[in-house]
Amino acid sequence: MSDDKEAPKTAAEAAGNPLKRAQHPVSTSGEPRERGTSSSVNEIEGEVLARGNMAPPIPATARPRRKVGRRTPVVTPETQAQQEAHLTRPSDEEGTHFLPESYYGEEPIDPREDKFAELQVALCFLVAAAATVFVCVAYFVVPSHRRLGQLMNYALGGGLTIALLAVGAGFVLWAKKLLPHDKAVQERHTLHSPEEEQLLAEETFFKGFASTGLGSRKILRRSLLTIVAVLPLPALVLLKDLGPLPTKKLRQTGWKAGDRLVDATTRQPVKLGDLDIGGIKTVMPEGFTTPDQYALSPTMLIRFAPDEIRSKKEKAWSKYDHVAYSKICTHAGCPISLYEQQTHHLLCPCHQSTFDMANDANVIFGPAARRLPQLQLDVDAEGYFIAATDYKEPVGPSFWERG
Amino acid sequence: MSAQAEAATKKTLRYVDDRLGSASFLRRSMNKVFPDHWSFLLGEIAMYSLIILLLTGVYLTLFFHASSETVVYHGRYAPLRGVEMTDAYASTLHLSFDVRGGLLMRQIHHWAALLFVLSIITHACRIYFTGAFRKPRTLNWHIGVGLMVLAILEGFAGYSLPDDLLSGTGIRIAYSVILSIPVVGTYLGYLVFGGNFPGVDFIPRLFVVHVLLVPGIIIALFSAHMMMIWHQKHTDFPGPGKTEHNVVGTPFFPTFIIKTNGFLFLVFGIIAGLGAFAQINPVWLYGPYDPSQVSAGSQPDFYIFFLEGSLRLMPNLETNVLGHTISWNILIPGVILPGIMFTLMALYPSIEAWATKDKAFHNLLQRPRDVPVRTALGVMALTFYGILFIGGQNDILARTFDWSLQATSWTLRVLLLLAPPIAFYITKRLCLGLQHHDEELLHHGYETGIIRRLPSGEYIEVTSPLPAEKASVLAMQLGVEHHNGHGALPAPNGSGANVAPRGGAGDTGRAEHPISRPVGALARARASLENFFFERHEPPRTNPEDEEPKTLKVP
Repeated sequence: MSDDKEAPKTAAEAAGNPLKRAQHPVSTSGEPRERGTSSSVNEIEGEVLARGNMAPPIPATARPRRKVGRRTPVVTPETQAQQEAHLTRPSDEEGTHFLPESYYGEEPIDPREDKFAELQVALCFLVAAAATVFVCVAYFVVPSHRRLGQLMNYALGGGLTIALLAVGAGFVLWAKKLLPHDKAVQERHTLHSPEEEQLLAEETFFKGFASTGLGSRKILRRSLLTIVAVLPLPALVLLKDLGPLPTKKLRQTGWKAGDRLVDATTRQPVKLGDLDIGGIKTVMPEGFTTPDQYALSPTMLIRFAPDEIRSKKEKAWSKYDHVAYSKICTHAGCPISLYEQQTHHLLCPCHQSTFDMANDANVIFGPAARRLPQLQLDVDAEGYFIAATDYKEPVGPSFWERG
Repeated sequence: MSAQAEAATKKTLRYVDDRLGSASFLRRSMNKVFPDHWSFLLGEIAMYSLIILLLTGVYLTLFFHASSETVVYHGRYAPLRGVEMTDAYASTLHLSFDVRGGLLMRQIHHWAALLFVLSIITHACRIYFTGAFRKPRTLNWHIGVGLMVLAILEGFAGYSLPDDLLSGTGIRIAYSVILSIPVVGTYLGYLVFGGNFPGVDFIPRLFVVHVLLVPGIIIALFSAHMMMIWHQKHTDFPGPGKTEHNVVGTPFFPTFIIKTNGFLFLVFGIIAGLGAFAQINPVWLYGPYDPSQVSAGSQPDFYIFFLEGSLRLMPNLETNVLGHTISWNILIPGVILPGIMFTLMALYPSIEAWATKDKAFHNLLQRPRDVPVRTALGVMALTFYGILFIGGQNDILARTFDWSLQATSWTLRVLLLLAPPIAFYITKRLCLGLQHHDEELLHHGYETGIIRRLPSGEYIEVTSPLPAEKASVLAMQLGVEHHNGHGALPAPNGSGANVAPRGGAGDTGRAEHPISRPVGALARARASLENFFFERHEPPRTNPEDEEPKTLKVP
């Protein structure tokens, strides 16, 4: 018995096109197999249904790939031609071959739906254009000082948002509704070159390298390596003047012996009575121009009740139950600000290091490793608090040479 | 196309081809096939955010003064009138209130930066969990990790430029981290800042880094990243008709380019919407930077949270040796830990390839469940990162939920060490469970939901087998032999649907090696890593028939 079609020669041919089989998977009985549609299942289902509608009906057909509307599509010669036009494009050397959408048994293009889709895309672009014009007009027309420019922000930003989203929607609708849903398959060629190419490349390089003489001429090679090692150095050296060498500046703050403590905000000197018991104030050395100049100088002045200070050394450096400690956290340098009056704990808001201010500012919690440095206090002739000396230890985070 | 337009196009194409020989390149590019999956769009979001950053960034440079010179503000924002501040801060206020559209551009720029880093991280996770980093794409992974680090640094530099109180605190912390480096820390700090903190040189230098140097490197690396994807072709998930040697999808012209253009404008639109209606970085509320002030609840941008957390959770270790201090409490969380994390991340593909002796090319992606140990390691790393991330907000959590601050910190410290191994174990078992389910599906088919009662009174469930294509793909992913009941189906199109022995899905290219004892410490380490990667710890199945559920397999 002769067959009209030629017998498939390979298993791959027998299997057929992979994408076609994806749509219509083969079963051994030769009929299309879909979930729950085998004859026995239907039989059983029939029994079940007969006994009272337990299992829902399983739809026999798959959903169409592209929704072209719910009406029966109108097929005209023009739309047929349009569909034919989408057929396979010429393949290229990379083996890209196209599978036309008519291949999937797509429903034919309904010209009414097609036109409607085109109008949808056009509407999106028009909305975007209108929004863009709105942005340009709003720039000149909207009062720009209304609510500090908030109205202008909304107008410009809102218009821009609508414009961009509408353009995006237009392109997406175009792609979904008007473009052919071509599927293409392309070969991935092996990336690495054929063996002889690689060998030739190696040979070219090694022969070339040999002719440079670097392999055999020792003096040449060594002098070249020397200059290669040395040539980048000026690039580094020329960067030296980016900044001065670290000097004692890291150990100094803006405080000198005899400097009055002044309130950091009001710049007024502080005397006994300015601070209530349990009060805290940020102070700077008198005469500081901007905070940046004395970035390590911010100091906390705290007033305790009599006998509240526990540490002898702290007591020795205090004056009239006032103590002064560096405000710069010894962990990462944030200015510590949160004072709990009842417990006299000072909490740094950055990483929650906690210091006990009544007890030498020792660390009681958190990642800080050292207690805060204390500033020895005194009073001058007029009764204003002054610093007896600069801080006796470097203030702020640790560094290698700190000691 | 009209005849005139067609003629003009032809003329142009020939003009260009005459000079460049571009015809075949153009044709191949237009035909280039791009596979389709939503997760492939994550990298595109990063790309489009980068474009917005560049465009809005240029706009901002036209108005911003990168100078630490002290000026007195006399602009429209009343609460800060008469206040001394740096010109950088003043120009940012001017841009926000006096330049029409200035605040919009600032906010779009900031939101685009947030989306940029977020999409890079998500994209990196997608690449990791699907195994797209395997040969030949390992180099691209390295470039990607570099891009991620640069994006994070660039974001930090960007929001620090306005020199406000919040970002200035961050710079102060960064300065302390530099100082903590042993031997050279103080020299580096003084060089970078031109002296003691804060100095007047840092903002102008940061501006050059943020506007010229790092974007240049990012653009160069990103171009290499894209060129490699173009040349090596995109990976794809296994499916019907897809093999290691082909790409199935949509051609570049016209379908893919129009779709991706639509996506570009949608991303632009969403970022513009955020910039228009969602306030971000209101620097006028923070005030100019002052080294003696700080706000409670100061938080950096989200991509720095993990560093904040590590700084907060680190115990207070400091050693003093011969007059020199090493602050482990800053050095480890600020320098050593991120260094180790990013290095491990960059080297992971090489480590995995070395451990699994995998030298083959991989173009098909894996599902996370197909590689339980890799997925579990990834979840473990994300858990570790996540706890550091949460640790960066321990004070906000304590305030919101009324917890003790110290208890929160201690709990997070303990969780940091305990949670990752637990996450590893749970994830691995979940993956193996999902694989078991897939095996059931493969051997028994779908449950139809129809129960049949046998005459003996027993109930069985009716199953129907998977379609053949799906079954062979699933078998390849699970790495099992698959026979379709009545004899093996031929592999579709010579795909090489692999029936590799369990323990490695895909074209492993592993040489058949007889069981041999590894010699040498390195080889032994490699063997034990290999075992670790492939082990499944399953209880031995004594009698397979006992465990098979009673099903009626519909032939």
